[in-house]
Amino acid sequence: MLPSHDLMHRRRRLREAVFSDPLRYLEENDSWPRRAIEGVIADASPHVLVLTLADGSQVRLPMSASVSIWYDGRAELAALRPGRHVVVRPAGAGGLAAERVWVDIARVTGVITKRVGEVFEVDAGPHRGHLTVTVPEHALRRVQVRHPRLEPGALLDVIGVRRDHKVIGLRPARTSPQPSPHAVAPPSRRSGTSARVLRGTATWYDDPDGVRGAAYPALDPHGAGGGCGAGPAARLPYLSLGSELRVRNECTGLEAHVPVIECGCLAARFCDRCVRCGTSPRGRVIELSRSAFVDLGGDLDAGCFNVTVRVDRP
Amino acid sequence: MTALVLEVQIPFLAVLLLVAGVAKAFPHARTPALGRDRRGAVTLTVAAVEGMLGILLLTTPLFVVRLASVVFFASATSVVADLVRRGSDEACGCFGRLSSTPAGRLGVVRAAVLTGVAVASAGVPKTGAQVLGSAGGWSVALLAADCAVFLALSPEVVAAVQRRLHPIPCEFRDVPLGATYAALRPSPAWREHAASLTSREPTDVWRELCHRYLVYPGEVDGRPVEVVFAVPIDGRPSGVRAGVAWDPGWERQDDDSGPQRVHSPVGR
Repeated sequence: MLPSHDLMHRRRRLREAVFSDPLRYLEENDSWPRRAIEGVIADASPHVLVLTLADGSQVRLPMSASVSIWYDGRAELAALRPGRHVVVRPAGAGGLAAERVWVDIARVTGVITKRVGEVFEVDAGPHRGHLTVTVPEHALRRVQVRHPRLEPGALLDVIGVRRDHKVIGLRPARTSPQPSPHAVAPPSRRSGTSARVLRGTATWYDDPDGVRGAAYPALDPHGAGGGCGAGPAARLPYLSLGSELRVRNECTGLEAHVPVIECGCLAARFCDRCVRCGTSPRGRVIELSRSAFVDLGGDLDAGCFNVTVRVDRP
Repeated sequence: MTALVLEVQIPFLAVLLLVAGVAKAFPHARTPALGRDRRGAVTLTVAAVEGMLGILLLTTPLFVVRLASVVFFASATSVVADLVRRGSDEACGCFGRLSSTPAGRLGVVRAAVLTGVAVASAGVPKTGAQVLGSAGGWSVALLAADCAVFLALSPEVVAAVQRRLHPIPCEFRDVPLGATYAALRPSPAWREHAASLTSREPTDVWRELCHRYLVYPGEVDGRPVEVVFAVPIDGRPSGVRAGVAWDPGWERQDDDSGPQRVHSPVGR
């Protein structure tokens, strides 16, 4: 399989050979509103943050006067210690001045397969495998507000920090409880016109590479579509790896073209609503990689934003 | 009159059982192989029992046969009611692939009504064939009324009407690859480009919304190309579109050779 961005370009080229009316894509650099920066802290001072990026290069980021740091909640500059991983969102006015910084943030989403005391083993789907998360005693009650049934077979979605290669789950990533399957009305059969416009919840997933892309639940299970094998729980239009989505954060108004790079096998099982700016009309329709989520104005610690996803295709 | 009403129920139930048995025994060709393996034996057994009961109801007045049909319908009612109670998404499969929607209350009512009919007509002394042989105008009218009530209580009919009125948008339909190939091969677009293909196996197959794209390696005027077919999900061969893309190694088409709709690769 080609790397996802090569696959996207290849399929776009082939598609345009058939439909001679090429879609008007935004230039990628323009379409991404703000570029999130991920890296490991090499040095930190009150005014400058020096990061080592995944390719080994270093970048110096000035700290804006109103910088906000997250490390297990709101934190001070002391949280910026060398060796820690950070995701930085530059200020909206342009430039690289750091406006939001998340330190060692991690997320575990999946189905609980095993519990031994505070340690949970979670099946995050065929692509992400099994993950282990520790929910300490003091965080357990907070997590149970959204996940009352912490036992094998139940869904779990927690945000926490990574410490010594371990994920410590500190708070539930859900902002509303999971409704029972029968309480969720299926989309109307008359919704033909809205089949290509999805309004719901966007979340982020803990990708190791810092890539920009999306995991989409309804990938074609036939051919090289990249489907997970099981059909989506919610009704979503079928797409494939490399498909391009126009994703708009309804809370910030920021919009970008995002390629589908993975099957979001478990996303559609979460029917919880995002309540960041009003209640999202339906559950999770897309999972964004960490960088893509931050680019679109999402706050990693909040876990979700209300989204409109459009698919511009013949 | 009451006796006549009860008599016509025997051939009615017999025909119903035979139809249900046939529908289960000959599933639609698109039934997934996995489903056939796992549940095939159970489904075939139920189909055989239904067929046998149908034939016996037509040919013998034995009370034990009537009792067996009562037990059969009561069991079916219990199974469907259990599916509904558990809130399962499973279809009852009462009429094979025709019963593809999740079991609902209407299905329970139908099965319960049939159980009641089987109980009420258990004491009829004639066989189904005898009732049909001596059928008059009233019998035909009563049978028609039976059929009308049965159809009104059938979730399959409700689902079919709903499908007709509001078809599932093509974006949501899960279509296997076999259906795509079946639409592609007889299409004019395939015939037009078949000669330039160097392999009959696609190198890439993916789907976006209402089209499935298949890419075949080809050659035009000695140059390597990729022939792309866009097959509509609804399976209309006339809707298949094709185009030729140069192999990325070729910068641009430098003369008038080859098909008109040739597109150079876009910049990366």
